[in-house]
Amino acid sequence: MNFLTCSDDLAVPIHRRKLVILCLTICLLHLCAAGISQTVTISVKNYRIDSIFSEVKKQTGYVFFCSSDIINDVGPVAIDARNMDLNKFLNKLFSDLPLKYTIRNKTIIVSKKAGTTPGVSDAPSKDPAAKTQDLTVERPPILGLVRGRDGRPLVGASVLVKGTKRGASTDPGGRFMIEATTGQILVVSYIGYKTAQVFIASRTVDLLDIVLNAEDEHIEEVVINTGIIKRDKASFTGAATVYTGAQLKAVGNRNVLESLRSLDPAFIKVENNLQGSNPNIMPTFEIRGQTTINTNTLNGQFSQDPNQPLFILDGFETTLQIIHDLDMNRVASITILKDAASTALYGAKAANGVVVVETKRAVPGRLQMSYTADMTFEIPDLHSYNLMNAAEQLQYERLHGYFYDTAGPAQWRNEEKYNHRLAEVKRGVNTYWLNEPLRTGLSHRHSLQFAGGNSDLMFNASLSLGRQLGVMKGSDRRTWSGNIGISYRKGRLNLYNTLSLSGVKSDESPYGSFSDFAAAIPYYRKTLPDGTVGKYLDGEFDPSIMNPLYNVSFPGINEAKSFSFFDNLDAIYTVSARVRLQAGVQVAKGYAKNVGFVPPENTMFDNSDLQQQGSYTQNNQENYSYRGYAMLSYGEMIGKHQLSGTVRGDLSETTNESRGFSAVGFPYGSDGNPIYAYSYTPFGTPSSSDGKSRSAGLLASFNYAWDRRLLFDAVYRLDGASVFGSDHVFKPFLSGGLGWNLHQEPFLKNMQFFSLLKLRVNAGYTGNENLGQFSSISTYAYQTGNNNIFGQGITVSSLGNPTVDWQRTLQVSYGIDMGFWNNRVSGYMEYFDKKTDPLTIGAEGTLPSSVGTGKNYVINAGYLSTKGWTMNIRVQPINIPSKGIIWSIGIMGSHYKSLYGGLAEKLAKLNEDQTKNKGLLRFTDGYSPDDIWAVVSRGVDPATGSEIFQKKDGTISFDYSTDDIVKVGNSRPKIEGGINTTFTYKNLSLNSTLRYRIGGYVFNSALYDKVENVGYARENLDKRALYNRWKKPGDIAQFTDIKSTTANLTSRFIQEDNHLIGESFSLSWRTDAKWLHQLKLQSLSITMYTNDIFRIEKIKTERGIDYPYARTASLSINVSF
Amino acid sequence: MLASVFCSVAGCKKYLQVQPTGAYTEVQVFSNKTAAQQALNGLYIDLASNDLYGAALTQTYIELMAQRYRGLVDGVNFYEQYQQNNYNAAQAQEVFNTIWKSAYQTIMSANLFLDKIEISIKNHVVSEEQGQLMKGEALSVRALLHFDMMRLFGPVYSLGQNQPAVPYYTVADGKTQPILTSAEVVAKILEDLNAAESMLADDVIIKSGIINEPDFYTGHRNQRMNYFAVKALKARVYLWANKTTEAHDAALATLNQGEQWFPWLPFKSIVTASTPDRIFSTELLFALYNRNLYKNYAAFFSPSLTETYLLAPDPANLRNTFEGNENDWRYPTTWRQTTKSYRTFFKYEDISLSQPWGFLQPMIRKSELYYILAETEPDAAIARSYLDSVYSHRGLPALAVNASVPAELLKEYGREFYGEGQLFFYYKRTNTPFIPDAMTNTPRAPVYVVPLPLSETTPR
Repeated sequence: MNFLTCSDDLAVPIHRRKLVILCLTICLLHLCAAGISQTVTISVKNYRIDSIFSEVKKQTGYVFFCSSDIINDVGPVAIDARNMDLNKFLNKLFSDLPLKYTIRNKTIIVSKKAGTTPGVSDAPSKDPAAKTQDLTVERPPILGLVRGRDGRPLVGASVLVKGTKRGASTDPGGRFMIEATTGQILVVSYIGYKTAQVFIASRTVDLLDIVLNAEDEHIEEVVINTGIIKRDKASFTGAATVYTGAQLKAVGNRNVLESLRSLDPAFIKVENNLQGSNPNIMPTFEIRGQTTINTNTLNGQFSQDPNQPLFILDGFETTLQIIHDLDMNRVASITILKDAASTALYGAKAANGVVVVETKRAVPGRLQMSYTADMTFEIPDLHSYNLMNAAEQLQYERLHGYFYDTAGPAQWRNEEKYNHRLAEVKRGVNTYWLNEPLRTGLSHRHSLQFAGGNSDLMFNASLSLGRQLGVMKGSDRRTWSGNIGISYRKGRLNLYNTLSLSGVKSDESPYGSFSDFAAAIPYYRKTLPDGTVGKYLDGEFDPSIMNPLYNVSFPGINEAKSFSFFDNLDAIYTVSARVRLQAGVQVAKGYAKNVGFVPPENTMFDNSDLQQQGSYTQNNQENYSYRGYAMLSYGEMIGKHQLSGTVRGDLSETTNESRGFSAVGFPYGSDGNPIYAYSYTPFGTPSSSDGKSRSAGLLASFNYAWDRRLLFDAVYRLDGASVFGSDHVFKPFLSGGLGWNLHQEPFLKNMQFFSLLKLRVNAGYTGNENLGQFSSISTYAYQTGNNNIFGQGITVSSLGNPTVDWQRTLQVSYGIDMGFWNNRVSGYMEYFDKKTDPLTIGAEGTLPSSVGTGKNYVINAGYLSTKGWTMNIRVQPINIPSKGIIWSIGIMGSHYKSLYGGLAEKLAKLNEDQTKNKGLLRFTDGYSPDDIWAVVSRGVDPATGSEIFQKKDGTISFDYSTDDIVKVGNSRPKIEGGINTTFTYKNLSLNSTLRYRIGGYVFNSALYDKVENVGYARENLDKRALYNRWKKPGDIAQFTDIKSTTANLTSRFIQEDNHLIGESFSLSWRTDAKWLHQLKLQSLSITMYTNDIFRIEKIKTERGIDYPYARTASLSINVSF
Repeated sequence: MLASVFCSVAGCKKYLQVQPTGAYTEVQVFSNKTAAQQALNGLYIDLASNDLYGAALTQTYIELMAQRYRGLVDGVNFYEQYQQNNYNAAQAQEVFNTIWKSAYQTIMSANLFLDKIEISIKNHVVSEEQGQLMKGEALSVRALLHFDMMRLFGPVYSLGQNQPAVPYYTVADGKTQPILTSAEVVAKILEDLNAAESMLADDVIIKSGIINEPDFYTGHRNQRMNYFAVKALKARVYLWANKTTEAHDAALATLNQGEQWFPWLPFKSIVTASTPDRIFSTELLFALYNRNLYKNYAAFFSPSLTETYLLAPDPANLRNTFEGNENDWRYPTTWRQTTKSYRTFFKYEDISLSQPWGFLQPMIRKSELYYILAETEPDAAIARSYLDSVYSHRGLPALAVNASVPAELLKEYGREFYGEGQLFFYYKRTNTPFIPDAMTNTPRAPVYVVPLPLSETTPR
């Protein structure tokens, strides 16, 4: 490779005035010094001088540094040298040329001999420094690096020696080289940044590290990394927010997704009331609401949550689980892309928004090491449980009337039973079952990070090891990860490689569902008189009630292990300051194994054959993928016109495979090794599934800004995917946006009041590829195990629909970004309108069954539109930098509303199923997927204790009819969000986040299952079943007759859920004081957190049914060396 | 520019064509002769599933509806719902829904096959002759299923031939077809059957009868919708539609041309045989190979089953059906008293596997053609002679001169088609107002029309 081709492409105008352009090609490759001879053998005639330079470099490893105009003046050269010493050779070479050289650290710096540099010597000589110029060129030049505050190198920044015309501009790595001497001042300027003046105090510094501050504080932080291209927020018209790793860590140390949710109003975690704080259940997230119908009925065949955002890690698509388990200390930044203008880059995958995670990259400098330890206490949060104690339970049962019926032949037995239990209560038996499966979990995580290297070869590495102990005993999640990143620079080529390995092992609690313990009746004892755990709680009177602790004494296995590996390799080649070529490839592989074993002693096998007691299942999954892209980008500033464009092509393939089997019949006491199984599950077949999908895309993006005032963005993406089916292999997606930086307008620019005022609007299409792999062609499968005399048969497994149209979402967004009083008040507001049309849904239930299409057939039906707004306002009431005091308050909020349309009666069957299965949802035009449907209740009749229903026509009735079901509420709140406060005093920082929710409705399952509708089941109930139910005529009660065992789904169980949660409080202290250095430490920081510490709510309902919620308190210590 | 680096559009398209694993695309299936044959065979395997002719439409539910067995309450199968005509009971709704869905899914498969086999013929994957044969079979499978769905879910033809019955599908395109009247459905069935008949004109069975060899195109033709099966089915359809002349002609034509290949079962094969041929297999124009036949016997009819699971007739009812005639070849051989205190049903008991009639579920038998002839023959003497032909091969005496042909036919449908699902349709076709109740043996007014499943009506 020829490193000495001093190309004009790097020439960038430095100053407005006409100047001599010093184009510097920086040849900083002195890697392979060792083992290279210091002698030169060259014998040429009529040879270009730069070719000779490159030959010398090849032979000696010495690199030449020169400016292009110098070389251009030199004609062809002849030289004859055999095994000549380098110094001699250079003397010989330069003796006839108008050039001279100096050697510094394996770099040969070439300059003109005095008196022969007309360009430079024309410089005004008023400045005394100019007179010493001849002296300075004798010396080696100054090497430097120009970066923004975020550490990003600034490309094309101009560096000028003050008072001279001597200048340089930075290369793609932000580096420059300039001839200057001690005492001179370098003027460094870059568009959008404050110009800096750097005094050269000493020449001993290897590399001058210059950090520029942004001209505009608001812009400074904000480089939007879309995972594909980096954009300056000031010229971007899309809605995207960026959070740094430090910001995320300030909120919590659990995982990045939990922190992200606390910071961004649009990133919403869907509550999983069943699984609470189970560390092994992946949470569900949404950005800006839903884009598709999400019911199990429809999405049985879909592998992934079709409303899940797309996750990008270091430029490549990844899974929710990888992000969830990512070591927080590695995260450099997370960008959330919300609207069409920002997500359109991802075309067919982007309808649900995109979360772009960028990990820390290597930085040059000496070896740095940091260690972070996180410790977390997880404390069960049971405040929502409102269960009866032993005496209350017994009293309730007596009032209920069924259990101790005083009439009929069983009367004496009932009395005996009651009195026996009463005696136990009187003896003081009041068992608290809830704490039995619970503990305070102590989780910890250790993370070690290394980084270092010189400006050509840098590396960073990290190791992390963690173990999260959930609040249920035995619930455990261990994670580990290791990765190495290497950055290598050779001339205009930058290579970056990341290798990452990670693993998870998760165990579910052997206690099973928490609800079993919530249901256990408190007047029973945990153990038998002899201290052992019995099988039955009440063997004498009610042998149907098992002791929930019994099965725990025979622990089974419920574990999952996974391992994943990936390697990313990116290469960036800077063709010129305007044009850049980039390519990357990722290879990933993963394994997962799930094992389940239920021992034969488990009560579930009580009625099974001996040979079928005990069960074992194993499932192994394997996945493999590769992805690659190539990208050409261009950027230029011509006067007031700023242009940039990108063309990119990418392709990927993902293969998934899973195999599983199950076995039954284990000897008592066996440990779950399948070798002891009696047989495979009778009539069972091994499970198996395979899937392969490919996609390819072409992207073109263009941006234009005029005078940083008017902005225009356009993105076109052509997405091809195998899941689209054969007739529609390619889908086009288009988006465009406009922006107006009002604060840059002359009429506002002079008003100090506005530091930022930007209006933006954009619109575009995105798609949703999560909808699984079903094709437009028919597929057949063997009818296994069912031959006839003609042998095997194959049958249609899914009918293809060649006309099915892919689901597309049109999103229109409006936004305003603002900052007043020097950004003492800042924030944004956004409004959007998303319309997914048509919806692509499974045809089951939407077509008459005689069409014979079966459940895999897919059709288009109706549309779903979601409108909403989000806002985030931050105020700094106190900002005294001199005293190091900053106090800021942020309020964020969001609201969404979705509506169905165009469905007509197509989903009538689904609505009927909802009615039949007591579902609360309906698929009806003009209504929302979040609407809750039930019969309106008018309360409980004081005379009879029965519920009074309101019919559709408004009249009241005692008769419940499903015909009277109407919309009674909507589960989306009117507004939800967070209130964030940060107070910083010098090294101390206090951070709190409160989460609020106003106006959404929820179905209170505790009321429905544990107060009314209790049937004849004998389980521990809510206190309200005793105190608040109707007992005698005249009672004004909230709940029906205590003797009634059933209840219909009515609006009484749908309640407004307003709440305030103490989501995060943290106190952190950071120091890099002198005493640390004596300990050989660079800095130390300690942060204490509490998460979900309180919850103030209006309604009382049980939260965390199968797994309780946790409050957490944690400590994070970070030391860097 | 950059795109060309990655792929040209054509190459890219190819890259994106991923063949599903664990499944075969229609292109793969119909470009391979064996796979195309297996796709046709898949239709027969579907027909033999328990949701269709493997059990529901032959042995179990349809026979319960004809009051064949006592509908005992067992809390699992809910047999009593069918016996008591509670078609809207949740369990019955589910069963009829499954029957309906299975039938129409098989119809969809047949339609897809008919569409795609054309490509195989065009590409010489199968020969023109083989293709015609396969198309004829697929068409008649489609007709058969539509016919039985109409018989089950449609109105009594004589009362409501212009009332809506069932939809008729001729294309597998995911598009809903209107519900047609019985008369319209019959016209479509006949259209399909006529087309099938001409496509099967070269069926080897016409010249050579049944060859028990494994060739896909010439072997075991009685286990496929062969030429004679199609003709006989036509006679059944005509009779259903009250077109007695056409029914008579069709039955006669079938017998004239094909009777030689379906000889009456000799006495020694049934009454004295060690493995009695209880299905009278030589007389079967069409039967389905039912892999589950003996499993079903063990699940429904085996005397070792507990009372509540066992499908067995009331002893008095059974005696009435066979008029107590122990000489009837179909009575003592098929109805034996073993461990239970009454006779149970042995028709589908496991036999030696080496018998060529193993696993066969009778679908269309020769005797039915004689019954059609007798029913549609205006001359009573000739009609009786048709019945006598059957009787002489069932160990029954010839009819008396004053015997009523309709009364004898009713009895014969009861005796001949036990476990074959035809009796209910006989009652329905003749709109018999009262039939003997399975439990009490007293007259009971049956409900003939099964409502269309909700999965069909709700989305319409």
